[in-house]
Amino acid sequence: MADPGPVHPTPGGLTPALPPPAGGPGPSSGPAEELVEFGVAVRSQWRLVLGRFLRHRLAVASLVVLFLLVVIAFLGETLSGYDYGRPSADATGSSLAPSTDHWFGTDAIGIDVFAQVQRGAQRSIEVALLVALFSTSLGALVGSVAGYYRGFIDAALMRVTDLFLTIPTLAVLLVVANRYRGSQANWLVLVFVISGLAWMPLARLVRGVALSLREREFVEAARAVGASDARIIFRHILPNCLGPIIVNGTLVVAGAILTETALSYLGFGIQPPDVSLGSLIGSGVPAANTRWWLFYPPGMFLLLFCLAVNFVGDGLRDAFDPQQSRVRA
Amino acid sequence: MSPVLEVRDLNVSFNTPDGVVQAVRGVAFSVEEGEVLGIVGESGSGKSVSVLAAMGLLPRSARVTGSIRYRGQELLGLTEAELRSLRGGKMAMIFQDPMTSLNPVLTVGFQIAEAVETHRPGTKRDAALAKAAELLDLVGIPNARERGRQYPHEYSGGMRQRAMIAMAIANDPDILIADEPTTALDVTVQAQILEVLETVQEATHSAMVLITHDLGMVAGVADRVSVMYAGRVAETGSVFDVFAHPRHPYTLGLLGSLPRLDQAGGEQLVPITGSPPSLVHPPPACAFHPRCRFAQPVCSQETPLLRPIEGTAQRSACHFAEDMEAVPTP
Amino acid sequence: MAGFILRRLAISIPLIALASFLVFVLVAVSGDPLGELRSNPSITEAQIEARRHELGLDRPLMTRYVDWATGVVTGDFGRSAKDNEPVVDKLGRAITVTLRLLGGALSLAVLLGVAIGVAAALKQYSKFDYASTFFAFVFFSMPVFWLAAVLKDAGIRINQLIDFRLFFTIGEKDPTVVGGFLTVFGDRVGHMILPVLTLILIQVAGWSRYQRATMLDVLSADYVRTARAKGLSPGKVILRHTLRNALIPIVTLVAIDFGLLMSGAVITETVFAWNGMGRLLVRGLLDRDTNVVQAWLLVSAAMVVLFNLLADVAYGYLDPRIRRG
Repeated sequence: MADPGPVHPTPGGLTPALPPPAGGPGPSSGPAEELVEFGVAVRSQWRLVLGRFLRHRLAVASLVVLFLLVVIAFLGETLSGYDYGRPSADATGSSLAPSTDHWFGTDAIGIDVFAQVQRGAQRSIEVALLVALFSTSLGALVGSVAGYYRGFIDAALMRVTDLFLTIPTLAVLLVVANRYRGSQANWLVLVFVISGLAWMPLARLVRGVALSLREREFVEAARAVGASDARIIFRHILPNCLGPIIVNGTLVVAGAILTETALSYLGFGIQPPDVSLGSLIGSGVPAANTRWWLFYPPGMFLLLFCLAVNFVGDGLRDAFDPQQSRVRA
Repeated sequence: MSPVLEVRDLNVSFNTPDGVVQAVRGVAFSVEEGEVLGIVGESGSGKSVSVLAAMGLLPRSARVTGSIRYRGQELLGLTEAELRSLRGGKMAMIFQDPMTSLNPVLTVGFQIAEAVETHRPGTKRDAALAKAAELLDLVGIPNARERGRQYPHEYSGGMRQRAMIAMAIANDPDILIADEPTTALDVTVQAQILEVLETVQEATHSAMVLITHDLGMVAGVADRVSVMYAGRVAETGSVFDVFAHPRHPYTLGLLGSLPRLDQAGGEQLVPITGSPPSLVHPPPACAFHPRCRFAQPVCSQETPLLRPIEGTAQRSACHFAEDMEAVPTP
Repeated sequence: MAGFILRRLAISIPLIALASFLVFVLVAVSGDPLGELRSNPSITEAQIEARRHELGLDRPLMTRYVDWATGVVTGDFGRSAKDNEPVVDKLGRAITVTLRLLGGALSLAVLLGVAIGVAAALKQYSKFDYASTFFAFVFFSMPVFWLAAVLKDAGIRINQLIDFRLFFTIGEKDPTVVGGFLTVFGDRVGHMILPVLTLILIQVAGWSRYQRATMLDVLSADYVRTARAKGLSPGKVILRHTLRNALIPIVTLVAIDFGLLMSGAVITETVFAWNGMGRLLVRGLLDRDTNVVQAWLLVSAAMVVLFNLLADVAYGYLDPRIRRG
C-alpha cells in the first residue's frame, strides 16, 4: 500500500529495488556504470542517463504534468483570485456547483474550492518535498557510513535500520500527531517524524552500493593519497550512488504525500484553518454523493500528482539502470 | 558412416537495438561417432551460438538458416516437440556456470531423475532416483544416494558440474556438447572435471563437442579441432595437424601468444594486435585481416572460404593457407 | 525445519517485549491523559492531583511500565479511561472485525497479485501486460482513503440507480440481521465487499508488478535453460522450475507490506464506519485513553511480528537454502 508508507516506496514499487534474496532471480539496481574519478566521466554519463530518460515518452509527459501541477499549486491566489480561507468576496453563495466564476465551485460557507485545492496542494507538496529531502539525506548518510566502515558500525546501523522498519508508521504518526493537534506547528513535527520513518529503504540500498564500491581501486588510491574517510564518502562513494538516491527520493515524494494526506484526512495532519488535500477530501467525503465538487477535485489532483511522480520515478530508474524486463511506455 | 552431427552453412543473426548482430556466418563442422571435437575461439566468435542453434535453445529473436543434421536428420525446421525428444536424450548439453545451472529449490537427485523420466516415460520415480544415484556415482560423487537427496547449495562448484554431467548422460546421449565446462571453476577442479568428461565419454561412447577458449584443454582432450573467429570457421583439422602446422594466421597468433613449457625461454610472447571485431559491422571479406600480419589487398576484397589444403587433411579459410607451411611454428 | 521455526519463535518473543517497552514510552511522552481536565477552569489543582494519583501517573516511568507489562502478560490491559470497560474486551471485539477485513484482503491480494504478475511475465509485451502495468501504476498512486470513499460513493450511486441495496456502505454488519449461519455470513460478506476491494486494488498494484519482474528474472535464469536443455515440456518447465522460485521473493515483500496493509485497513475502516481497530485507535487518541492506545500499539506490533514469523516459515518451506539458518 502506498499511502501511509513513505517507508516503502520502492519494494511495493513497480519494479523491484528490493533484490529478491533467493530463488535465482536477481534484479538489482547496481551502481552507476561509469565511475566519478576525475570529473570527466560524469558529464558523458549524465548525458547517457538524460538520453535514456527522454526516450520514455510517458515519463517525460509526466514530468511536464508534474511541473504544471506544482506551478498551479504554488501560484496561489493569483490564478483564481480567491482566498482559500475566507468566503469569496463576491459572496455569491455557498455550495455552488462549478461555474466559470468558481471553477471548482464553493463549499458550504462559500469558500472557493479551487483556491482551497491550490492551498491544500501547496501544503501537501511542501511537506512531501521536505520529507524527501530529509529522509534521503539521512538514508544516504546512514547507508554510506554503514557500507564504508563495515564491521561493528555496519552491524549496529543495520540493526537500528531493521528496528525502524518494523515500526507501524501510521500508528506511530497518529500517536505523535495527536499531541500536536490544534497546533499550527503540527506540520513541521509531521515532516520530521515522517522523514524519520522513511529513510530505511534508501539506507539499505546505499549500503549495498557502498559495500561494493569500497573494494574498488579508486578508494584505495584515495586513501593512499591521504584522503580522510569523510572525504572519501562524500566525494567518491556518494556521487556513485546518485542514481538510486535520486530515484528513491522521487518515489519518497509520492509516498510522503500519501502519508501526510492520510493523516490530514483523519484530522491529525495539517490543522485548520490551514488546508491539506487530505483534509479537503476528509470534509468532502460526506458530500461525495450530493456535492461531488468538494470531494473529487482534491482527490484527482492528489492522484494525478502521485501518478506523475511514480511515472517519472520509474523513468528515472530505467534511465539510471536499464533492464530489459521493463514495459516500455 | 554418417557423422553424428553435421553443420553446414549455418547462419545465426539477432535483431538488437544497436543493429543486426551476425553471430554465426556460414559455419560448418562435423562430429563423427565417438570422437571429440574441440571448438576454440575468443568470446564473441560464435562458438556457443552455433551449438545452441543445434540444440534449438536460441531465443525466439534469433534468425537461423542453414543445415544442422543429426545422424542425417535435419534439425532446423523440426517442431519444438520433435526437438524436445532429442534434447536431453540423444543430444545433451552442459553449460558454463554450474553455480547457477541447477535449480536451487529442487534436490540434485530429483533434477537428474527428471532427465530420466522425461525421455523414458513410464519410469517410476524410485527407479529414476536410483538411476540418478548410479549416475552420480559414475561421475565421482561419493555417497551418491545420500548426496542425491541434497540441494545444489550443499555441493561445491566442481561437484555441481559433475552433477550436470550426470544429468547430461542420463539417457546415453549420442553426442554431448560441453560449453566451456570448466571456465567458471578453479584450475585444480578443471582437471578433475576433464577427467570426468573423459570417463563419461568412454563409458557411453558418445561423441563430444568441447567448446573452450583454452587451447591446452583442446590439445589434451580433443581429436579434432575447429578454430572460430568472428562467426566463421578459420581452420579445422586434427588436433595434431592444426597445432603443429597451423594453416591460418589466427591460429598461429593464438599459439604464438601461449607460453610453452618446452621452449628454451627468453622468447617473447607474440600477442595478436588489435581488438575483437564488431559483430554488427564485421570487417569486409576476411574478418581477421585488420589484425593479420600477412594481410594482402585481396584479403579485404574476397572472402576466403573454408577449403581443404592440398597435401594435408586440414581445411582453412585463408587465401594464403598453402604458404603457411613456410612460417615457423612458434 | 522444526529447529528453524523454533529459532524464529525464540527471537520473536524478546522482540515483542522490546516493542512493549517502546510503545509504553512513546505513549507516555506523547500525550497527557489529564489534558482535558487541565484545560477545564472549573476543576481545581487538587482534583487534578487526586485524579493523577488515582491513575498512578505520579509514579516513576519504570514502575508504571512494569505494572502494565505484568498485567499484559496475564491478559489484563487495564481499563478504558472513558467508560471503564476492560480494554481487553474492547480490543477483542475490534480485532475480530478487523481480522475479517485483513484476512480477506490479504489472501485475495496475494492470489491475484501473484497470478497477474506471473501472467504478465509469461505474456510479456502483450496487451494484457501493458494494461496491467497501467492499472498498477494508477492504483499504486491512489490514496487509500480517497479510493475507499470513491468506491463508497460508487456503491451508493449504483444503489440509487438500480433502486436496490446491492452494496453495503456503512458498517461491518447489519445488527438487525438474525438467523442461521448462512444468513449472517452472507450479511457480513456483503459488508466486506467494498472495503476489501479497496485494499485489494492498491495492494495488487504493487505486488503484481513485483511478481512480474521476479518472474521475468526467473524465466531468464540459467537453471531454466538447463531444464529446457533436458527436453522438458514448456508446461513442466514453468510449473516445476519457475513458479516455486518466483514465489520466494514475494513472500518477503508481503511480510514487509503487512504493516502497510494494516494501516490501510485502519483507514478503510474509518471510511466505511466499521467498528474495528481503526475506530478504536482514533477514538482512543481523541479521548486520550492511554490504556487503549498502549494496548492497541502493542497488539498491532505483535501482529506484525507474528506475521513476519509466518512469512519466515513460508520462506523456509519454499527455499531450502535458508532452512539451516
